[in-house]
Amino acid sequence: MLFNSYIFIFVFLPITLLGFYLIPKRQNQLLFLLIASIAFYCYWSTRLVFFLLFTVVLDFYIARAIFNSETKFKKRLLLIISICTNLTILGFFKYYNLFADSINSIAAFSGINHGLVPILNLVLPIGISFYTFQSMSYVIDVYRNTSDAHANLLSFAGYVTLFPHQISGPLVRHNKIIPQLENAETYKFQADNFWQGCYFFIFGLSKKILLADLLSLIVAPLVTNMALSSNLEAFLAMIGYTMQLYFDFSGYSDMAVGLGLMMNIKFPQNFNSPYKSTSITDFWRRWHISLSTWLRDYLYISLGGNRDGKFETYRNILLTMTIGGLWHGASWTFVVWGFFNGLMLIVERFFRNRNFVLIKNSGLRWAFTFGLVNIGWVFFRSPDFSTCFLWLKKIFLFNSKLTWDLVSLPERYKDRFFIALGAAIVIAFFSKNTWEIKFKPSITHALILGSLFALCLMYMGDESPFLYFQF
Amino acid sequence: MNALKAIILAGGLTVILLLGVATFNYNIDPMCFYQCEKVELGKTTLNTYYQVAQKIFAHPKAEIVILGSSRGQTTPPLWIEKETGHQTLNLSMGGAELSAKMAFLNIAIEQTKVKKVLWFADYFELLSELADVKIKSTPALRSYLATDQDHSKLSHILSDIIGLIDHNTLEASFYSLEHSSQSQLDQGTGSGLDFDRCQSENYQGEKSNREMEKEIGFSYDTYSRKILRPEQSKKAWIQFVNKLEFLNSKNIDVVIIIPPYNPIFSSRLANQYPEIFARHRKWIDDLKNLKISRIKVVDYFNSIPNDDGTPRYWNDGVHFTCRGAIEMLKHEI
Repeated sequence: MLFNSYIFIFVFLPITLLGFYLIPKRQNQLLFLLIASIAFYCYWSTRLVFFLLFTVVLDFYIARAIFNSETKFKKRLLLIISICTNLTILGFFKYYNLFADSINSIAAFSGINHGLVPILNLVLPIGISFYTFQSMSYVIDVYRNTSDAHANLLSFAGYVTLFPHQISGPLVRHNKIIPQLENAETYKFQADNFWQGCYFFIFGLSKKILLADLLSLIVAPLVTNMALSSNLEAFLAMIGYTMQLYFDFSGYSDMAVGLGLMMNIKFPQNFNSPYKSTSITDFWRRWHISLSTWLRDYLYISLGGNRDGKFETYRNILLTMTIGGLWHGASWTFVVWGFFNGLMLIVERFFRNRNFVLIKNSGLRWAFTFGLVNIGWVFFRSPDFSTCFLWLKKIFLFNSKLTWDLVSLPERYKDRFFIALGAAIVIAFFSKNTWEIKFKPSITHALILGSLFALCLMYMGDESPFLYFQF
Repeated sequence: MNALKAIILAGGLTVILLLGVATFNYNIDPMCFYQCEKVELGKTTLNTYYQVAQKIFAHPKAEIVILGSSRGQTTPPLWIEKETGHQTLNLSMGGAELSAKMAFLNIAIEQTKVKKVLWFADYFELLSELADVKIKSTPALRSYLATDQDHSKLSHILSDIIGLIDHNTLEASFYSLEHSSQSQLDQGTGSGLDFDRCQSENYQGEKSNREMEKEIGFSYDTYSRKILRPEQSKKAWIQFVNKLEFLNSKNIDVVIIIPPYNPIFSSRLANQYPEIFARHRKWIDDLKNLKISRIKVVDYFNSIPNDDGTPRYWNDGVHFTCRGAIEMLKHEI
C-alpha cells in the first residue's frame, strides 16, 4: 500500500487513526497499532510478513537473553546468532542472485560451463533492509550495554513494524520510539501535533506527486535509452534524476514523519537540504541522516572508527561507505557508488587534517560538491556499468559525435518536466526545507495545505512507487 | 488560530475544492463518462472510443471495416475504398485490445452493412479478456461489450468518483471548453493520409533515420518490458475464436493480418527475449490452424514485402507507415 494511494488515504489511514484514538486503554491502542501495521505489510504480501515477525520475535528474545546473561562469552554468542540470522535472511533474499550471477560470470570468463550457480526467482520482502537494521540495532545496543532490554514484546513489535517507517525508513532508533510508544500521552489526541503531521504529510505528498513523479516521466526513458540520447539529454537525465531522487525520498520521509506526528510519535529529521552542501562530508550529514548515523554507530565504530590511526580510519570510512552502497541494492553499481563516496570522504579528510582548503570560494565549493554528488547518482541510477560509462561519457563530452537535440524527450511530458525541474532546483537550492519552515496554524497556512492536498488528490491517479522501496 | 480550527479549515477547503472540480467536470463531461447514454453524432467528446462509435454510426453504408490498435492507424480507408469500390471504415485505435475491437465490431454489425473485416492482429490484444476502464466507463458503449465483463456497480461508482477529481479530466474539461467544435465524422484513422504519396517511389516516410532509431529504442523498451511480456489470456483467445465463428455465421469475411515488427526491433526481441518470441510463434501457429470458414490468415510476421527497414516503412519499432500497410494489404482486399 503506497502512501500516495486512495486506499491508504481514504481507507487505511482514517480507520487506523480512529481506532488509535478511540479504543480505550493504552495497551489496546498499541495492540491495535501493531495489528494495523501488520495489515499494512500484508497488503504487499501475506507470506513474507512471516520474515518481519520472525525478525521481531528473534531479536526481542535474543536481546533479553543477552541482558540476562552472566558471561561475556554467552552474550557474544547470542549477538553472533542474531547478526548471522538477520544477515543470512537479508543476504539470501537480497544478494543471492548478485552472488550467483557474479560467480557465473567469472566461471564463464574462465571457460567453465555456464550456470554454475543457479539463479533463483526470489521475491525480496519489502522493507527488509530497513526493519532488519532497526531490529538489529536493539540487540547490538543491549550487547554494548548502551541500552537495557527495556522493551516488552508488544512495544518492540510496535516499534519495528510501525507502518509509517516500515517500508522505507527513516531508520529510527528503539530508544527514541519505544519510550514514546510506552507513554500514555502518545495515545491522547493533540491537535498541534496532528496539524504538524498534516503539514509534513501533505508537503511530502506534494514533493512526491507534483515534482518527483513528473521528473521521472522523462528521466526513466532517457536512462533506458542512453545509447540514443544526445549529450544534452544525458545531462538533463542526470540533473533530473538528482532532483527526482531527493524529492521522492525526502517526500517519503516527510510523509512518514507526518504520519508519526498524527499519532504523537516523533521521528528524526532525515534530510537537511543536502544539495546546499559545500563538501561531501557535509552532504552525508544532510542526506539520509538516519542511515548515515546508523552506519556510523553500528558499522564504522564497530570497525574501529578513528581510534586506530589514520590508515585504519581511511580504511574504515571506505568499508563503511562501500557496504552502505551495497545495502542500497544488489548491484555492483551501488558498490561503486558507495566506494566513490567513501573515496571522496577520505580525500576531504586528508586535506582537512592538514588544514588545507582546496577551493576557497564557497560558491565554487558548493558547485564542485554538487557536481560530485551528481556523478555519484549516475552510478546509483544506472542499471549496469555499460549504461553508466556511456552516460558519463556523454555528460563529459567524451563520446565521438556530440549532439544537442531533445528528440528523446516524450512530447507530452516535456513541458511538465521542465516546470517541475525548475521548481525542484529553486526549492532544493534556495528555499527552506520542511523542517526549517515554521508552519504554525493560521488561515493562510490552512488554505495552502487544503489547496495542496486537493491538488495532490487530483494527481493521485498516476501513483507510482517510491524509489527507496527497492532498497 | 488554534490547530484544531486550522485542521478543520484545511480539510473543509480540500472538500470544497474537490467538490468544485467534480461538479465542473461532471457538467462538462469531456470523456462522456456521465451524460452519454446513447451514441449521438452531434456530441463533442475527447473519448476516443466514443468517437470511433460516432464514426460507425455516421457511415451506415460501410461494407469493409479495418480493426486494429495504433498499428492499424496508418492504413488509409479511402485507398481501400478506391481499390474495391466499397465504403471502408478504419476503426483502429491506439491501445485497442480485444474487447474494444469486439465492441466496435458489434456496433458495426448493428449499424452498418459490413461484409468484410480486415483485422490487424496484435499479440498484445489477447493479454486480457477484460475491457479497458475507459470503455467500461462510457455508458453508451457498455452494452456493446462482451457479456462476461465486470459490471459490478461498486467498481463503477468508485471509478466514476475517482474520474471526477482526476486532473486529466480537469485538463480535458478545459481543453473541451477551448475546442468545442464537433468531432470529425470521417472514415476513421488514416482518412487524411495521402495514399498516392505513400505509394510513390519518392516516399521517404515521416521521420528521419535518427528519429526512427530513437523511436525504435523507446518502443522496444516499452514493448519488451511491459506490453509483450505477459502471456496471453486463454479466456481472451476463446472470446476471439467465438467472435470469428459468430462473424462466419453472419456471412462476414475476415482477413487476419499478422504484421511484423521493425527488423531491428524483431532481432533484438528474438535475441534478448526468446521466450516472448516463442510465444509469438505459437500464437501465429494457433491463428493459422483456425478451422473456420471465411477466415483467412495472412502472415507477414517475418517482414513486409519490399521492407528495407527505413523510415519509408517504419515510424518506430512496431508502427509501420502507410506504405507498409499498403504493401501488406494490396493483395488481400
